[in-house]
Amino acid sequence: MKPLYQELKSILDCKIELVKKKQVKPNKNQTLIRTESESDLLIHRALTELEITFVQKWIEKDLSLALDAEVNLLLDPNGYKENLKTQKYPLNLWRIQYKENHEDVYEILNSSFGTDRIVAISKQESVVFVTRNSISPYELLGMLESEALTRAKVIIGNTVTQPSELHGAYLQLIELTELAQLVKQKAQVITYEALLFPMLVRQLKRANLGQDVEHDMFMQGIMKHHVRPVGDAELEQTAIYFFDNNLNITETANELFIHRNTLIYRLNKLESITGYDIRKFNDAINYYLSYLGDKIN
Amino acid sequence: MAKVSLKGISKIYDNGFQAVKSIDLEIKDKEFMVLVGPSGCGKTTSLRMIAGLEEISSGDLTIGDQYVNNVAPKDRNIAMVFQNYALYPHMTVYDNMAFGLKLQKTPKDEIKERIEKTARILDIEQLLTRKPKQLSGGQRQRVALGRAIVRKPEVFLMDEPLSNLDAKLRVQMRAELIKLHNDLQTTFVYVTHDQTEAMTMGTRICVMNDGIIQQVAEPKVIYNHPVNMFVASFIGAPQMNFLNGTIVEKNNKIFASIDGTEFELDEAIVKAVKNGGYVGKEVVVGVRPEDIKIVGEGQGLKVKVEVTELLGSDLNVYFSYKGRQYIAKEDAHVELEFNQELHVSFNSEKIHLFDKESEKSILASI
Repeated sequence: MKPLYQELKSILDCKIELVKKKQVKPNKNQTLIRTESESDLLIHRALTELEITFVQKWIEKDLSLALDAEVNLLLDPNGYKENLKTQKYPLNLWRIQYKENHEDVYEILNSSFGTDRIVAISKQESVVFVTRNSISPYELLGMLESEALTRAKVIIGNTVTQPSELHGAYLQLIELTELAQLVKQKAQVITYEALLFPMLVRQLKRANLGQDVEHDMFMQGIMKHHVRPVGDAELEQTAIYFFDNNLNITETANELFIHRNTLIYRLNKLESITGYDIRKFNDAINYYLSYLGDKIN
Repeated sequence: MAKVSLKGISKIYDNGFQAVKSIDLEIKDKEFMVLVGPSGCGKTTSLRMIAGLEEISSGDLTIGDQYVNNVAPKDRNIAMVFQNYALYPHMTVYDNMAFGLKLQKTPKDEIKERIEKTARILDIEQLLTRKPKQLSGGQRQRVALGRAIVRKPEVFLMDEPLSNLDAKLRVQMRAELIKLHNDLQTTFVYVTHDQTEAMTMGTRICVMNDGIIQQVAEPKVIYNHPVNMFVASFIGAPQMNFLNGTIVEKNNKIFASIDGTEFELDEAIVKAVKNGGYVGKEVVVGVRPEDIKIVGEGQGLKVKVEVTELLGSDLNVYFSYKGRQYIAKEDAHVELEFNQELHVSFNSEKIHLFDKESEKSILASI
């Protein structure tokens, strides 16, 4: 979701800063809009009275959540330089997305993470700086859904070791969320580790677009072996279950509640369509990369 | 009134995957309805649509008399218990139970009253001042249930709440949930993949597969009269055995013939077979392990013992017939050896017959 103050920035078509209260005096080309939160809004343009009223209404409507200077820590590549609060490193960013009941969600996050930093990005998104795992992401999800009664997702990024990595880590969370929408749509807990391959494929595809010759040849190599679309949702699902069960026929058959011979029949059918026998490690990797290449734009 | 009604409910995800395919289900007031099926059958998605945590792609959902398709979860008067329950480690049991009510801005006195009453029902009154780390697994699970109960919902929605517990505790909690349902007299909708949980807990069971409801009935009916091979195989442990056979008529009697060995069919079964026009046709014969009996030489099918499992009062006998493995449940005192040849027959009243193409029960009309 686009941060609210960025939306305001594009409407007013000028730079907007979140500043600590009473620390900035606006010059004649700036306008300071006071808010009820910890920060005020410094707009780098002299606004008309009408524009000031508009911005104030805008803030009253929905912006209060995003007016925390800490949001800048994640949204601005240089935001960490201005944020003086100490934070223990290493840490993991957890992005919590939810549909409704922001206040209840915030209470639950506060109660679950205690002293860890919680940044409300919007009424449907908060980010937690997790330094110690007192609660698992699945447990948190259970809390949010049963106590705050809202559908939620928890996205966990790679480890952050220093403040300058925070902005990149937040962008990574956004990318993980998008990728999960493509390859793990039903997943409610999304981790960096689980999406390493899709991330890799996306990076390769982007490099390909950037006309980097070496990457280009590599990607073309993959696409040369690109499998024909399976065209059978049941077979595709079976393959994904097979991967999720570490290529174990018995466990996959048990989970799908099908006879192992039925599973073997489906795997043979997949092989006849794609040419890959995904019971073999190399073929499994090749098929999975091709599958991802097809799913990820 | 807290009946739950699903009419033509479907769930289609953005990628086109259809998790639930136009299901109709009427859950009665105060009923303990268990949704059971394998992974990916649509049971959890159905429960989440009732909760309001998944949007409904099409169909109508009502809780009580209220149409709730577009009603927010917190306005549906439901409470949920999940597999991954957690308690706030720094709060006492009392505060953990009070948390949801505080979010709802319930007055303090009422919170106290509700927690004390719930604690009595769950027998955790003495634990209210303890912190979660001072509790056993079963006690923690009871507190998690308590958090749902204090909300006083019209419908409890539970998604595999016992699957994180060890086997012994799971059996104990099963009994406690049945008791709780009796005490609370509220509608329970319970999702599990475990057919034993379904059979032991449900007032009725809804068996699902591939996004479709296969059968909704009382546990006994599901077990004794499965409507198709899927239900027959999913419900019952060990699973029902399936053999290919043919229906033959000789001297005005009807038999199920398996490789030339004939098993006379019971009168009620004969009627269904004749009505369906199955005489002379190939069918699938289904026999539950407990309906297979060891008989003398020259009778029944000749099989070879592969493995035996002594379960105290019963003995599971895995035997092979024509290269495929089957299972029989015998009395514990029967002594069998590996590779021993023996003859088995079936309890003719308990034979199940299925159409070979549609896999539907031929006996559904009985």
